[in-house]
Amino acid sequence: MSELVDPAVVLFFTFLFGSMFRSATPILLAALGETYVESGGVLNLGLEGIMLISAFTGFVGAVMTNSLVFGVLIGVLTGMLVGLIIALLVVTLQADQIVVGVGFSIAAIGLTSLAFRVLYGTSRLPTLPPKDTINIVPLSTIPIIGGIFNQPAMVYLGILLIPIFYYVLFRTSLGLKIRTLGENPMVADTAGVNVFLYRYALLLFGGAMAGLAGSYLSLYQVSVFQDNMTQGRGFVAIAITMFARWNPATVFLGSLLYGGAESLAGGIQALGYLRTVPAEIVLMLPYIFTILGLVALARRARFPPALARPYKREL
Amino acid sequence: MKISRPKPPRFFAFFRPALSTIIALIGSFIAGAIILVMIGSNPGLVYQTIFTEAWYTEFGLRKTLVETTPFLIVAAGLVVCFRAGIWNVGVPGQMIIGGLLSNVVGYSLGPLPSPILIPLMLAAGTVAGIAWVLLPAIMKARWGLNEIVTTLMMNFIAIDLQLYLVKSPLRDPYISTHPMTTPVVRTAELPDIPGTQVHIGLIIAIALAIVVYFLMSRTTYGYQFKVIGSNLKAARYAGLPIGKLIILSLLISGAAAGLAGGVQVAGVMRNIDPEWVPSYGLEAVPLVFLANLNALAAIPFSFLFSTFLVGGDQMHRAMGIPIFFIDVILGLMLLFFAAGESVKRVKLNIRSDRE
Repeated sequence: MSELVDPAVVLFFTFLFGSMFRSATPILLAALGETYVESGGVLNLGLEGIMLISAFTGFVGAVMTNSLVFGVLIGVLTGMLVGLIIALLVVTLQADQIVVGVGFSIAAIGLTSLAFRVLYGTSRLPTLPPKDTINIVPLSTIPIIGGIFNQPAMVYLGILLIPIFYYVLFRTSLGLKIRTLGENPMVADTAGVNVFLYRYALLLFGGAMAGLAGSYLSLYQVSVFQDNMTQGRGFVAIAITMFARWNPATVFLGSLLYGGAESLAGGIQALGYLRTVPAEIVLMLPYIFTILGLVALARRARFPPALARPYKREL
Repeated sequence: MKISRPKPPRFFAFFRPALSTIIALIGSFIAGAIILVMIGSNPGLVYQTIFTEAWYTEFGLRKTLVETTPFLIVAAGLVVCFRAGIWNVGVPGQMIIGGLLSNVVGYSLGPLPSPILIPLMLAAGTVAGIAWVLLPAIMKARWGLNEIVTTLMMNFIAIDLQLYLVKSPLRDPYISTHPMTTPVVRTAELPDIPGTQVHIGLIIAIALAIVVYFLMSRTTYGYQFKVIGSNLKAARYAGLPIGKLIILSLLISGAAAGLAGGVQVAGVMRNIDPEWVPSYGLEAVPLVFLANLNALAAIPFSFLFSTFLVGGDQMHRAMGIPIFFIDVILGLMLLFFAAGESVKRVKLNIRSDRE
């Protein structure tokens, strides 16, 4: 079989399948959280900022505790803390959600890069404890696609969360309440749902998921913190929730599309395959795919009517 | 029966429109001071260094005035689209593409005399900026695709495109140390304002801000932009061409961004580094909000933001404080501004409840 195919092609696809799930995971985690937040009527454009801050605190936490798991935990907690601040601004103070989101994106770049230099500016960068992957033995030995079954635990976690997120959002009364918040918060309020409390909880939850995504990025995918390392991934996640039309199952497909594009770029670069295509052009692929995804799928998307509108009780 | 409304004190009424801006400035300065103390610096000394360097040294003041130009050009364009409720966060990309195209014009049409060459260069930058925002504009107007996401994605595409273009097809073969584009010819450089060492881009920028001010306050287009920005439903009932206005507002801000790129090439840089990522784009967002989306007010705020940039550079070199501190301040300004707007609204509500 393999004699019939160019070995470079085999190598390329082996790399692609092994890496696309890893690249998709931060987007998937962040977008799953954002799906809930937006279904509840809040547009959290601060996603990029939360991911970046958690990527930083996760890294620092992992170095200090010498444990990746604790690093992730610290990343999640900071994500929740930032989510709380955002909730205070957009739910209680009813501030403009877009202004707050953009403000957090700018402040996060400054804060993380500043703190990174203050902490490690002059010294050598600390190294992280080694990563563990979960190897699903018989499956991971399959040629070419085997790499899919040898990933860090968080990749499997992300995939396991998809059916749970789908079930809770569309099949439980909690999910119904969340979606009502995005459809018509006044109806939810009349039915006895505390709109403010639920939106706080949603932003905390979304912050935790973005924290998970950010710390995964610095601890498992890149293995170090770099300035502005999220590189627009938070906004990609927002785009994916939009073209997935707030459906966790479709969010998965969108994330894989992005992960595939990122791995394709990495694969072409790493393996020197397709030498005629300049590396810089290939690096554009994830962003081009995201725009194409929006064009193809989000054109007639019906947004939650209450999205990005602060709720206030009319007295 | 006539309901008399309790008049707020005149002092307060005067400052009321600026309340959020004042909250934003004070809040971010205090928060910045706390951060400085946490990293072991003296906030008073840092702020003093920033302003002294940028205002009271000849070199610094000149640089501050030169750096005001890109801020103001970008901000004037953003005023239009923010007023229309449209978010162009793709300014960095539009500036890059604008800068690249005017760079190419500025050396390939070298033999032309300055009075023809310079306008051509700036026009090329403007057109390139428009081109780079065209796709997001159409996608927003036609299909309602979120322009924040699409313009931001276009930034990353522009950064990669610039990396490719400057490293290969546009690379100057005579600069061997580091890939750079071919510099524009000497006659393509913007002349200085007579009696100063500040290039005339500043005058272009101020003129643009005045034009935008009149566009927004004295013309039908300006009024229509404000209507779609403040009440889309009313705009729809009034039969305004919403799609056209959305596209137009984005194209105006893209044009300004492209022009800013061209002005930077013609006035300051002469050629382009593959890793040039103009930060004016994102930093201009808090600027425009602090100026209350008013193009004239953007003039002093552009000077203030340029002060942070230039003074921040000195703060970095003299005191070793990472330049990122400035980004923290600017981001926090936007957050405090958003909070300030809410405080303003709450005050209004209290008063209307009493009646």
